[in-house]
Amino acid sequence: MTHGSAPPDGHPRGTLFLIGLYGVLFVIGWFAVYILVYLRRGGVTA
Amino acid sequence: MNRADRLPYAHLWVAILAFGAAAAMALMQALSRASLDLPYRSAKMYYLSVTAHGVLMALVFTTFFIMAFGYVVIRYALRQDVLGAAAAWAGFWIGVVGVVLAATAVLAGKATVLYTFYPPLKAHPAFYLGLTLVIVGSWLWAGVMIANYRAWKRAHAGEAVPLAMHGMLATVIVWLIATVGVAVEVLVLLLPWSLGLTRTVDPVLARILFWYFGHPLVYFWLLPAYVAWYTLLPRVAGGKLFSDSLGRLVFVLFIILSTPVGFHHQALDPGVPAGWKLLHTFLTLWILFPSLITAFTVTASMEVAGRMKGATGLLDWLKRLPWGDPFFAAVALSMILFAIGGFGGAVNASFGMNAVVHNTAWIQGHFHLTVGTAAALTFMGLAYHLVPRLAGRELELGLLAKVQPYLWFLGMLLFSISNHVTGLMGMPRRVYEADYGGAAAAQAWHGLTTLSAIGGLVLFASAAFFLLVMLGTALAGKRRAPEPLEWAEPLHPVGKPGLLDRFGLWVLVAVVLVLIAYAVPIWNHLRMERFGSPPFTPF
Repeated sequence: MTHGSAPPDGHPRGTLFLIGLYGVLFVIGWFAVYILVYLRRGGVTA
Repeated sequence: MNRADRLPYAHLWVAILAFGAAAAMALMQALSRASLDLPYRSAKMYYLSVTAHGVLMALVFTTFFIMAFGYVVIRYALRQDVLGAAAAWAGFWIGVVGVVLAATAVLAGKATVLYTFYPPLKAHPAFYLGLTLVIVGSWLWAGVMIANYRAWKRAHAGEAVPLAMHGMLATVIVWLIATVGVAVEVLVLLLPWSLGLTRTVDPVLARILFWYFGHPLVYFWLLPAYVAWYTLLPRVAGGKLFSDSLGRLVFVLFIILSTPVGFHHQALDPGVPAGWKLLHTFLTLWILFPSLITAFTVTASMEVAGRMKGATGLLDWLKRLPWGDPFFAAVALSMILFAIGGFGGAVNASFGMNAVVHNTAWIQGHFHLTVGTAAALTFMGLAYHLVPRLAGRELELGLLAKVQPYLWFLGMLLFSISNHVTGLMGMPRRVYEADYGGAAAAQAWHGLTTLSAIGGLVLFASAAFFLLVMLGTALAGKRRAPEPLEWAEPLHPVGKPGLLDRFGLWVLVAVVLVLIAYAVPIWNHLRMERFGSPPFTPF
């Protein structure tokens, strides 16, 4: 496997963007199930 | 073929053949769940095939593939012949005999107990004996792996073991700790009960012991996939590993956290106090972190590769990656679907919310993203990478190999997302009649079960492509000179062995955590008045 150039310096900003995006979607998804499904059905502590 | 490569090659082929048989079973189940009238369709046949699919895919395909990969790591990362090859071959044949015994019992209709073999469902003794032999074979593999690590350490004093072996050793440790649970369950509870030596069995204790084993089993599947992600993928992508140290940290965290989490599978089980379930919930949520670190490190390694090829924008490095390489595509696509699986896993592990998804189709949607894609699709990609090298042949049917990971991705999206949604609608898992004889409630998910069946068809086509490529390569691939297996170089040099290389310490921490999480609840359970169950065989 040939390498085109030297490895880059600095932060992997594209990765940080993607992981951050995933984190946001992860939290939104979890709360969506929690609020729209779990709490709507009454929850086990209601 | 190099004589020493026959050992991993033989293991690979047991794995590939088990995968093929399991894939055929899966097609029948997907169509049956959509209530399509198939020849010989019956509840008995459905549950028999679910058992065969689960056992062959989750226990045989994975275990033999992982053993093969372990031997590949010894040969090509440690660069030494396998010390203890006789024991390794003994482990292989013991495992094969075990597979034949267990599979025969299942296919004869004498062990329709699903891959979790929960009592009081009872199987023929040959099933339990077969599984025991598979595990005994894997213990010999574990012993060989440890012996080779120790030999390497003696010959390389002051050097950190290559990351691939670090990860495989973590896999071995997780497996050895985990299989204690299933060994006790099978040898003390199920086998004597199946042989008629005991009249009843304690289902609660059996389930505790099963899930003591069952959740770290997930990491036994995943860790070798992570090894490939960390140590081979960056090289194939044309870059470097972003951080070797983060990889070591991840493997150590899995050694510590893999086992004391089993009660999150039993969140709705009676007989386990809620406080202990809550403790396991917290520990389960901790174990998301090593997977998040992995997502960051492996993606950053891909970004390094893209930037080394000239990318400068925020995301244009993605376009510079070798998406036409079957190994790269399989691994990258498996990571994308695993990200969705991680979200679902957080819902499963949340103590209260587990009630929403427990024993619903959501669960089968979830684990087909984790073991069925993150592990299985990575292993298929690895097979494209390893089989030609081990066999000394060119990869045949290259176009099928290129298309196959994308088909798997598409099929799994259709299958898994539809199952997540129907699960939230209340559709149970492991139910033969998804339409409940035309019940009104079941009408709501009918279209989605059809979508799931279409996903199953696409997955079957993908599995068939994989098998054709493997058979074509092994039987008709053009012979070529052996090609070395190249491992990813880290972006920064690996230093001397440090805290993360002290396996003895981390095993000790793991054992202490296991004792904290399990000793008291099991002791309390054994002190209570218990009621055994006689066996139940529905077919």
